[in-house]
Amino acid sequence: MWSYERRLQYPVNIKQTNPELAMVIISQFGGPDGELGASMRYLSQRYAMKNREVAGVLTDIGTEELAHLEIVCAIVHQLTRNLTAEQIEGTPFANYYVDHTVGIWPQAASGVPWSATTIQSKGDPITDLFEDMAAEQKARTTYDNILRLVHDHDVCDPIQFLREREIVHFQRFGESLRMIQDDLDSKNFYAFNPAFDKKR
Amino acid sequence: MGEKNQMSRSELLRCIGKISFTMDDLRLFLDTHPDCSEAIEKFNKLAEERMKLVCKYEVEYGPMNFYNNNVCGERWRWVNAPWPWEGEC
Repeated sequence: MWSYERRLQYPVNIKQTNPELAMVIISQFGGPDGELGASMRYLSQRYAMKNREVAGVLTDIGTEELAHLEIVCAIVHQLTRNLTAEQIEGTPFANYYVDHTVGIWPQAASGVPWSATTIQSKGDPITDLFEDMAAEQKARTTYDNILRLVHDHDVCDPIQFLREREIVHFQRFGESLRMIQDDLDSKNFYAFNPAFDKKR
Repeated sequence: MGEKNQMSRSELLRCIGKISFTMDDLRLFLDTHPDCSEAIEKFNKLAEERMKLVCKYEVEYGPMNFYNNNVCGERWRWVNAPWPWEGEC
């Protein structure tokens, strides 16, 4: 069960629209390393995670990612709201506008729609946690790429917040992996699926 | 109305945002360090402080959490205030 709270986890107040920038930032909503995928990945992986603490980490980070996708969508929304067709014409946003007007739709910067094929839920705690740590780093790299293209402080500020969260999540997933490994025979960390195979 | 109220609303929101974020971060820390009494103590203190601020906000500006909706009045208050993505939140 989730309960909506009527506030952003980090404030977004953008004064200047910028459709080009919106086209880039939307990738962190529906792109291969975006927040939607992050949330779905962690929330899906919980069911095979027998370690209670780590299931808690997946629940809480998966929940925080929902708050992050709301921040990303708020940024895209505020960068494109009240635009006229003339302001859109000739920008990279024009193709998106044809399909979605100025509505929000989960896609990558390249235009590829969000896909569950960009995430994995393998049913193996060690496999999944390595995936999660990689995912946090890929998202951090994407935010770094975005930050090099952003020159508006109003946009930079929430993007920097999101980038920092990737680092904290990487740390927590690293600790989670260690907790799982502590429960296993150190000679066999990577030989079995601790959630499925009897032999450890 | 307007200016002064607007200021205190955003100030209150900022306070709630700060405390809530510290709690979000502590929650993740406590998931992997469930025996850290220092973090638990901090979390409890913030939770209490947050409850007071949210209460103050909701009386003044309408529900923040759905379950605290419609404490008074006849109109469905959930749809009264601006939504967070509109900015100024």
